[in-house]
Amino acid sequence: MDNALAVRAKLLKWADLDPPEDILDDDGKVRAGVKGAIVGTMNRKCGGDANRRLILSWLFSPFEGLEPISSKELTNKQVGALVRWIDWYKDPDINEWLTGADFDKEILILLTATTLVYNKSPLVVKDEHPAIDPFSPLLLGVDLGGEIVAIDDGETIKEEAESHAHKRHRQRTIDNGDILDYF
Amino acid sequence: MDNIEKALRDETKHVRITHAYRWLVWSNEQNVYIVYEKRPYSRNVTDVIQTDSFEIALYFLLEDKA
Repeated sequence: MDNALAVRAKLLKWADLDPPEDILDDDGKVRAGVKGAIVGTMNRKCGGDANRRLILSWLFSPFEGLEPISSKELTNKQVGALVRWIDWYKDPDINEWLTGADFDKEILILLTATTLVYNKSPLVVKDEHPAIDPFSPLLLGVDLGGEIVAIDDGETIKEEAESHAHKRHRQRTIDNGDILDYF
Repeated sequence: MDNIEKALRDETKHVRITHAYRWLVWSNEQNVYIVYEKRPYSRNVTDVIQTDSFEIALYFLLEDKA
């Protein structure tokens, strides 16, 4: 997270400077195509529009929390900061425009940080491990060698647990004194 | 190491090995290994070395401590 904050600090510092002259037209507006190039490059590196807006929010949002920012809302100075950050150069070997080594690393750092902050709800991988309370009687039954044959209204999950306890005890006493039989 | 050299020289792919701000490629046209460097926020790409020795090219690639 510290690295992601350092990138934000760097970009905010650049966003105080005047933008590079070559991205502005005669009227002082950002030239057509510059924002498109930024969007295309960032999307390719971070996976799409939604992620890019989160990263832009991380970089430039004055508020706490991530309220996605569209590229249309960027000021000239912020566009200038992004152009400095992306640091395009032409590879002499393959004659293609590529992005700076720092940018390649830093955008992944930001992607990690922003998705961690934005996705606060816990991840549940339903197919492999249905959301089961680890201390539930159901899981205890599986631990003892039982088999889940139906869950979520008939969606069958074949999951078997081998257990020596299963061979020794077909019944198990739970803490509260109830006797549960899963077999 | 042989596999790396083989991969670099594969004409069907464009393999480059990157380290810090430098990268190493094989030039099919010149039959040499080239180490390029692109420092942050300078738009120029420079040749650090061109050599037919993979080991020497690798040395110059890894020399960049940035």
